[in-house]
Amino acid sequence: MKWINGSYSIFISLFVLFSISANPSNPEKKGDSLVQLERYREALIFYERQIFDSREKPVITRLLLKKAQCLKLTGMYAEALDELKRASYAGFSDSLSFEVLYESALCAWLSSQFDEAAARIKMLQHFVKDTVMVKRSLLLETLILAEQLKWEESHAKAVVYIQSLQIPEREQEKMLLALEKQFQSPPKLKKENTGRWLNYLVPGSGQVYAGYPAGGIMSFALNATSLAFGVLMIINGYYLTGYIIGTGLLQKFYFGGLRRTEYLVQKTNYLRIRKFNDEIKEILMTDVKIE
Amino acid sequence: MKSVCTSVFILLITFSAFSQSETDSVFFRELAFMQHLVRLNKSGEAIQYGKHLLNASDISQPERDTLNYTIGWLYYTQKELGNSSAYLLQVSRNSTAYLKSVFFSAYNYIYLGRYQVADSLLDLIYSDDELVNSLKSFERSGSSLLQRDFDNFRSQSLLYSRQYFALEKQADQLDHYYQGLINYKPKSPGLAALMSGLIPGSGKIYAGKTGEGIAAFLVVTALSLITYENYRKDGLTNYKTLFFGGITGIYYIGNILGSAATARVKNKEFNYEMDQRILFDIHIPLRTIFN
Repeated sequence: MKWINGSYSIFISLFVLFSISANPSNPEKKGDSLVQLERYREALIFYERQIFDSREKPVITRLLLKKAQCLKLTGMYAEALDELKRASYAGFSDSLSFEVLYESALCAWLSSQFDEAAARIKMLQHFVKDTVMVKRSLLLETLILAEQLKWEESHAKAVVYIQSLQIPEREQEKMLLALEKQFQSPPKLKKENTGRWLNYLVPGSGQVYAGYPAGGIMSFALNATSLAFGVLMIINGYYLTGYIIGTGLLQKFYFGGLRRTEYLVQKTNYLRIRKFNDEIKEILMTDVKIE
Repeated sequence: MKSVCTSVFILLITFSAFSQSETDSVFFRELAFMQHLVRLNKSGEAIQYGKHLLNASDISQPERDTLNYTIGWLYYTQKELGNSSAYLLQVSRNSTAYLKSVFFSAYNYIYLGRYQVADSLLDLIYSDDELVNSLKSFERSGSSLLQRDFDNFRSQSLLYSRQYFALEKQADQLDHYYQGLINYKPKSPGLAALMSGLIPGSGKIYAGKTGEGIAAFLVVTALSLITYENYRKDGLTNYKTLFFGGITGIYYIGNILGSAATARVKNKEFNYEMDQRILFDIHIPLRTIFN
């Protein structure tokens, strides 16, 4: 009797230990339920707990995708990308490889890491053999190329993308026409160096070049007034006042104007690129929503 | 990075101690997962997971102690000292980590400037071990020095033995800081103000801010010269003389007040630097002895 009791106890202990070790209260399910409750940060820990216990790469990859989804939903795109960088994608089914690489590229694009996004798309094209699947990444690739200011390549990809869409021919032609019109006039970007040199020669002219004439005229007026004040004072015999106040003010306005020119050139370029790329996005996403 | 390495190291020690009694247990796996999170640079998540484990009703007291200690230590590496002490102090007296937990809690409170609490925590430690008692007195001497209670520092210094390697060098350092504190002549804000009243900027130079002093001297001198020039040409009641005179006066008075403030800041900087050094040196023996 004692022997039976002892064996029974050992069996029960081993069973409990094994079942808990293998799957301690199923962290993945717990993570899923936390996602349902929109408690994404906590869900991340339980998914990681499941990853810690998993040995199979596809399972780990699937869990990392879930983690990335949680982070995406909380707007932490760079962190989502970091999680996806831990995922394997080689040697898997096309659908899983596609999902990892597409999500990585998307998160990189959303976190403004455009070179990284482009590299991920290239990897996707290399690892995923299914051409239908690869075509699903065309929209994202077009947008990434546009952000990298590679407008010709972006245009070419956009055309292929539109042609691959399962939409009426008239709609397709309409989109292609709009796209053609858009790419006929890519944004003209200002050169920071030109703006700086213009401002060196004539204070304020760099700001006019950057597209801010009112600010440029104001800058010119302030520089001219400072200089005139200094000269006038010296002519009238106020040498110290003219030199110290005139030079002091001129120096402040002159170098301040230079810094402002650099900032305004960058601002103008950013706004122009943003407007152009947003219009491309608008055209391409007429009837498609990016995931 | 350093803190992460430290955390991992400490967790490893905890695990090795724990694994002697419960090899391959579920709990060991959970602790290993916390270590995994720390390695991923996610100490915050490790803490959160530790708290989740603590909420389980079926954990034993040694497991609870291990978790409280681990969470407390992770908070310590995150420099959240209040939270660190809150968990470290829950480690029970029977635990092997008790002594370390109390010492580090006391250190946390010393760091937070809550010297009375730290003192009462050190009172909790009863031991026949001369090293432990020496460490107690050493920590108390450091605390006294931080409070600038020099009498208590001297009396506590006599209570610990310097024969231990862990204390020897740091004890000398504390003596060195003590000498520095008693010999330090605080900068007088009144004297700094008076000096700047006589020669603009000299008060700041006296307070140790030579660059600021020279700049203040140049500005006040330039403004004074401009005022003098206008006074000489247009007389005292001319609006230009009054305008520049007003600006000069504002700068002159501002410089006097600024010099007094600089002297106060300098004294604060000295005390802050000394405090940081003392805190650093009373921390080292704790790490040497308990790690």
